[in-house]
Amino acid sequence: MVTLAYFIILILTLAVIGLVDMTVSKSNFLDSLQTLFEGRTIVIAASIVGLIVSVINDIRLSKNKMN
Amino acid sequence: MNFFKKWSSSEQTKFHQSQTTSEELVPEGEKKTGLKNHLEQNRSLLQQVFGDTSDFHIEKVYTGNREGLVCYLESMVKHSLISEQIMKPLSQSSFKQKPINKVKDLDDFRKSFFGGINFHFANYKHEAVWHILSGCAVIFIEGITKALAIEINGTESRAITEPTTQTIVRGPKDAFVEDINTNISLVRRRLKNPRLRFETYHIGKDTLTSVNIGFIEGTVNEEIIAEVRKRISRIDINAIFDSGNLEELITDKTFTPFPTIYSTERPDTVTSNLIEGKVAIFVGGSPFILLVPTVFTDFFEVSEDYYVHFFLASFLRIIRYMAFLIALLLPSFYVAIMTFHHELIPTRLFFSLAAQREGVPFPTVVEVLLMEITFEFLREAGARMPRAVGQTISIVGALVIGQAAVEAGIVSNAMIIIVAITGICNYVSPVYNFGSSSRLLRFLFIFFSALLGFYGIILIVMLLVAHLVSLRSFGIPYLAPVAPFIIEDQDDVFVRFPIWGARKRPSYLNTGSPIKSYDAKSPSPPPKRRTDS
Amino acid sequence: MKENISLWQFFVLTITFELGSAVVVGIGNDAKQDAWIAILLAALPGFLLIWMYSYLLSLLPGKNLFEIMEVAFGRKFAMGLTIAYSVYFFYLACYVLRDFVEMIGSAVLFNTPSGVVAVTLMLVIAYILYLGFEVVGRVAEIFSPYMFFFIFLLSIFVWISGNFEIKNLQPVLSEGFQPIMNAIFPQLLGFPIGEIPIIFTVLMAHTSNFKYSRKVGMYAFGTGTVILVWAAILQIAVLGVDIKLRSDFPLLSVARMVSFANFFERIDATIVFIMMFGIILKISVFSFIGLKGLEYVFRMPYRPFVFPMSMLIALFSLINSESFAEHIEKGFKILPPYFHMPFQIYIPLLIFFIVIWKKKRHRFRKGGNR
Repeated sequence: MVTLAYFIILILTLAVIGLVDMTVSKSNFLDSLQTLFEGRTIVIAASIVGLIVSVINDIRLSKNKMN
Repeated sequence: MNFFKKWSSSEQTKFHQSQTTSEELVPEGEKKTGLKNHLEQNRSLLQQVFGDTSDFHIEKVYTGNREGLVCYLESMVKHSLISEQIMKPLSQSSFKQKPINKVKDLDDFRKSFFGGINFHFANYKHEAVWHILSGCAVIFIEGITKALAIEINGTESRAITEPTTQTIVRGPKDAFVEDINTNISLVRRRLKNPRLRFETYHIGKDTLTSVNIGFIEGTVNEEIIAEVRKRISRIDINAIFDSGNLEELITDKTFTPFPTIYSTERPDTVTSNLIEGKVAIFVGGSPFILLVPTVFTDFFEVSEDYYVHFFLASFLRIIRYMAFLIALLLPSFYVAIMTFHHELIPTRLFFSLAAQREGVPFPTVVEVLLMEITFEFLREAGARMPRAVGQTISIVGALVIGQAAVEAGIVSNAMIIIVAITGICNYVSPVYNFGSSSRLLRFLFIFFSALLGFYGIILIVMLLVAHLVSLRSFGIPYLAPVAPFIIEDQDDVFVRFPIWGARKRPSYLNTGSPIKSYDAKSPSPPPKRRTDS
Repeated sequence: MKENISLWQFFVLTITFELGSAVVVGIGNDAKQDAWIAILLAALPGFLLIWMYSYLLSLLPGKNLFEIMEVAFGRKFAMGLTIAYSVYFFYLACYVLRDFVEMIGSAVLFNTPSGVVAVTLMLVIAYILYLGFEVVGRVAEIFSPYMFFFIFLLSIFVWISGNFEIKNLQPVLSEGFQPIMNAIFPQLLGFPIGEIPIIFTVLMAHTSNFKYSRKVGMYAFGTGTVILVWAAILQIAVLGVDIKLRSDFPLLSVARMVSFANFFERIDATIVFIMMFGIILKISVFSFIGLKGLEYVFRMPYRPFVFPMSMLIALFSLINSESFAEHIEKGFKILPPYFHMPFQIYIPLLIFFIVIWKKKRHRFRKGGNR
């Protein structure tokens, strides 16, 4: 559930960000997204840690449900 | 979160019964062994339990019209009492040939010859053993399966002296000792209130330490006392030696450097807190009494605040809070300013600080950590070493580490000042536990200020505040009455109102009687009345 | 488990929230030197919206925005709409975070990578949210007095330094009301005025005493707006209109001008740290509301979501724009008409009317069987 939410929010917000950026920088969608992602290693790493934690939380929650 | 509602004590289930805690002595799985009819059987029962220990004495005596056995532990009883209170009455009874033929004669026997002395009866082996261990002399009589235990304990204990940790200038100077009965009497003699109650527990499978909880019935909130009883009854450990052990076992289970239970050596602190509506926990063998529930602001109060003029007391309170902040933050401020934020201090000050650091080979944070850790070494050594070597440490500390290190160019002068001020400010908090929490957190602050400057410091401050705000001590929010802000409790937090102005008990304790004194008036003389005609 | 904050905490939280980023960033710039009038006037629709939304909440007591959406639209559609709102709130949170990261990067920590600042702040916020919403309330209670006190102090310092020139506020209304109207719709209504009513739709459901929360909320909103107006006046009077329009963080520039007694120099760094509290609270509130949305959709307590979402917010805050100028342009030109207006005003108004209509229908049905 948590991982599902993670991906939903991730994809939808990226879409929003890309759209807004398209309007401002007048390039197409994928190009905007790509430029935005450049050089942001720290936060990308942090969000991957967030993904790992959400998977762990999901596992813990399903274990609790099974008990 | 809702605070407590008042319960009526009739509805409340009492956790504490006057149970015979000597049942702890029954080994697991065995049934209770009754005392036997014949002396030799009883003797062998007891000898099984106590083995060959040299302080266990069993003697044959004449009791009434029969033979009897007297057993006691020499190390637990007062010798003079043995002959006076045991042997004399026994010989009298045998002289008068008092008939003891049935079990119920035993009580008659006791009333005639041992009147006025504390006693117990024992029906089972473990009860008899328990009484012997508590310092009673147990008397067996041939043909009777009940034994009589007479209290004659007289163990030596330390005299009442001045407290070593929370000393004050103005006010009473007695402190608690290790013997729990003396401690209880120190409280009882100050609180001549019939509603002061004590309940006894024995905790620890191997030690069976006496633990007493004291409270004023009607004042203390019923839910708090129920919670205390529940937590103490729940303890399952083999040994308790000090109230510190007990503290760890009953504290709210939180991973926190801040103590949620107050410990004190002073009887006047305990009595004033009992009146406020707290619960005191006495542990046998420990001169430190625990007080629950505790809030953050309690750790900045000393009993002296109430004996001196309230201006001075308010001033000192504010000094204590400032000192706490300084102890926590000063080294990290220094690191942040020297590393990141040169513009935050006046230019001239910055120049002089930077000039002092000219020859120092390390970055500021290394210098700070070096000095702080050295200071910690000094402190720990000073606390642990025997008195005879005491002088050496002050010389080493002052001269070598302070002066010589500066002259050798390893640290700067300003650093020494900062470490010294921080060290002094640490001990302004009256309770030792609390000072140690700021000692530990200091390092966290230094680390983050070296990484991220003031931003790092503020991050950790917010983290700390969020953590403190979420702590609870026996159900009371730890930062009451600051957050949630209770305006009527502000009379004793940052400033102390005069004693005739502080009329209520702390409302976050939800006591049974919130108003201490109804008609407290200022002592100044009434204004002169003009007689108008 | 209902997490509630007291009315006083609600009051200070709202004021601190409103001030959060708006007091440092220049707002109302379309109206140039009349920005303060624009802010003052923009408060009126704000009050109206607060009144309407709190009325909506009182119709369905105890329910927050998302549950009300279910009443209006039915579960399936409400789920989708809630997801949209959660994305919106997380986006708002990341926007404020970016504001803050830039502020720190430009005034205090010049060499630290923005990612570090963003992630560390979100870690602290994640911890606060993990502890629960009451902790947010209590933290607000503890720190907000310092914020207000420092703004007050700053005003005094500015006055002592002698930089305050009232004539910079003139000419008043030189171009009439048109620039003011341009400033209000859509920019000011989107940020910061319109944020308050929409967060009330969720926050009011979490106050300990709902009956008074409307009055308290309005007072808080009014006080916050007054402080914002005063901040705008300060900025214009001290800096002059041109500099204020061009400056990224006008309040910091104001603080930089303070210099007296040879002692108080460069206090803008101090202002940054005071503003930090407000921004942390603002991001916490937005994240909390977004998490509440997730709680509604997935029907489970929001605690497991806290950490992953916080990290995502940090990610979004940095990838949203490459430069701060881009960020400002998006925030003031694109967001208000296409995002703030729909989410803060159009959709809630729609919900408002639908719920009222449904309630009337119920009454009709009930009264019809006579």
